[in-house]
Amino acid sequence: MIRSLPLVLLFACNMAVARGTYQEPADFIAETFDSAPPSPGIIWLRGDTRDTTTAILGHKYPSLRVRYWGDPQRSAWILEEIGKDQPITVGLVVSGGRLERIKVLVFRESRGWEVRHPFFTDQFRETGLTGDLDLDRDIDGISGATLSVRALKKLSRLALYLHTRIPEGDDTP
Amino acid sequence: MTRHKQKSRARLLRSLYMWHRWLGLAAAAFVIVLSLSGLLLNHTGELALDSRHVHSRSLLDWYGIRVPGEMRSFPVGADIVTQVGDRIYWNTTQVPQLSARLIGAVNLEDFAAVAIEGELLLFSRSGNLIERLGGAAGVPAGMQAVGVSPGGTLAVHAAHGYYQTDDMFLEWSETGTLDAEWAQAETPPPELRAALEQAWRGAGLSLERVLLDIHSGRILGSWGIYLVDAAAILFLLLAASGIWLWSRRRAGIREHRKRRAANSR
Repeated sequence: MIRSLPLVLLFACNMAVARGTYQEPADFIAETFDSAPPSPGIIWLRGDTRDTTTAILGHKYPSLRVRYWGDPQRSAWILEEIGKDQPITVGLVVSGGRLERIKVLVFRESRGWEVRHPFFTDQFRETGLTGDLDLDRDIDGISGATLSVRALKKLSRLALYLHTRIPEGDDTP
Repeated sequence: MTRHKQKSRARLLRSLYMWHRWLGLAAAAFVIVLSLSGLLLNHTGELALDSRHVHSRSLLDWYGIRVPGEMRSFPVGADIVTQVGDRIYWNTTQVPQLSARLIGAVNLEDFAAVAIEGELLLFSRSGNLIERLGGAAGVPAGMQAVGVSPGGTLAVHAAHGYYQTDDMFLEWSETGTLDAEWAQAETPPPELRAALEQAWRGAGLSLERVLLDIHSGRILGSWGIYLVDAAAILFLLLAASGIWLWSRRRAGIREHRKRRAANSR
């Protein structure tokens, strides 16, 4: 028992470190726009937009409107989706209809935190949407983190879709 | 075997039969309760026992589930936002995925704004969550109070001063002082209080917990565990006495057949 104590402590510490805020959403937005973020814009989830959002997530988005920073060329999003029990807060940047960057900002679940590592999130770079609103390339999963992987895939599709809903010529909404 | 020995053995057998019968009757109640609770627990997933909650007042009282501390309410138009424990309720509906201290709530022209630690929640008139705003959306750090500015927009008293936002909550501006109508916490009306108490307590006890406790006897406290232990011993005694009686009866029949065969020869 005493011999296995360091291992148990190591595991407990790992779990404690895994949960938490990796980057404040405000810092993610500031970093994306070189410390000069543009004024935010709003996409209302109504009508077709709401139906498509629901189809992508498999459930209604928890709020009626979503905020973005940027323009129809390049936009940043802070989105949330539940992995197993708790919401995962993710920062996403879409540029020219393709994902430029995805980062797990706040992770509250007790399992599946491996999705925060760049070896996983880097796979999403330059990913776009197919006509069926699926990602146009395969993303390798992580065993033991299936639900978190699924949540990140859904949020990637959602950000790519919502980017297409930004009104043209509305650079500073 | 002498006649006396045969008689005492028959008496022992008869008394054992009697005991077996009474033990069986006593065990019947336990068998029914344990079988039913076990059957239901075996299908916890299909029956969603972990997400169904018990609303019986007497059962909640028995478990000692009580609302912690005082309730703080903020009226927003015809609705009321209340903090109960660490949960926040829009009238009697719990706001999901929210566990934080309620700072205040105000009614604005288009929205109701609810301030919790580090975040601002915008609700529609029908109580639907419109948006959840954090630091990235410009919500000032260390909010202490919220109110309505003379211009009808949201006013925030935060750790570093006073702030105002526009009617769409897109831009924030800092001001020196602000003569706003600040939200004041109130005690909820008695009928809402009773409904919230029931809602809070009702969410605290799942049907699975109750069934597990019935199955293990823990529903009756520490004595309940001993009671179920006693039932388990009772079942063992029943099984042992049943097997013994069955074997004696079988031996008796065999002996009787043998004797009859010998007589007929």
